Amino acid sequence: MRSHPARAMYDQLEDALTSITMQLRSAIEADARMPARLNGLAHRASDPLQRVRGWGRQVAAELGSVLLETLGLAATIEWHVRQFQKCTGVLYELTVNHAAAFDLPEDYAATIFEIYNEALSNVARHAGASRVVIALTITPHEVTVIVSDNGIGLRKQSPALGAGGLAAIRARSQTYNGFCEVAEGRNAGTTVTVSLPLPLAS
Amino acid sequence: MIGAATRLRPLAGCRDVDSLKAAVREMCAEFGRVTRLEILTMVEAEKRQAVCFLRLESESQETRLMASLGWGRFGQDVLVVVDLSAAPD
Repeated sequence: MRSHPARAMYDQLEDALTSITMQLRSAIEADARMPARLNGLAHRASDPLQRVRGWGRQVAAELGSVLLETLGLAATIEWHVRQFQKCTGVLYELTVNHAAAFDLPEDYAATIFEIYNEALSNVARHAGASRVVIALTITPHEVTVIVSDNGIGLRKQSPALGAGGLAAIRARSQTYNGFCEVAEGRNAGTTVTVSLPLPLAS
Repeated sequence: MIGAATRLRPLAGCRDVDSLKAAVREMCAEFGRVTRLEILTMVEAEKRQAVCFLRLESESQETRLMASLGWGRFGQDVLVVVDLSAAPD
């Protein structure tokens, strides 16, 4: 297992944040008539900021996998999309239909979460949306996730933007003999639908 | 600044998965050892694409690789998509 212990990561985050705070405080206190000195401090502050971004991502990934294991897919998506709304301001609507009283196999839950996460990242980075609708349906035969936004739609997005993520979503679906559709809505917007057949059904 | 197309040039010349695997490992070698590599090929809008999911030995190696080569992440994996239809230089 290669995961970083959460405690160590939080300690690193705290150290980095302390370093940033001190350097920024120094910059504020520095003589504003000495721009070169300020620039130097700002430059030195950027390294810890980069590290914080990396560690923040790791902490979120670790937390996501812990939540998946303990709370399951639906609750993890619910937690994640709430954070997404806080960070991006994009409003969400989440519908969960979990008719079957069983836990998804771990790799299926992780894969659907990765797919959902990538689709949501595309919404944040490329779609220019103000609203996203997510539907998760789990039946004894399959698990389906739909991520639909009201953004500019695929045609107006640069072809390079998000193409890798969408290709990865298709490839991951293919690995599980799943169905994947990326469609543009009638009034722009994009809808990503992925459905994976569950092993019990095959 | 090196563009994405330039960074992928060593991979775009590959015509099959085996040669692409070798090229990906070689390209990643300066950052660390590839511990997992999965390549899936697809045809999308008449383009043949290879979607590569890989992992190195540590997160820090992966972070350096992504920063240097401009590759992305998908879940726990590093992701790179190669257009196998592109003509090699």
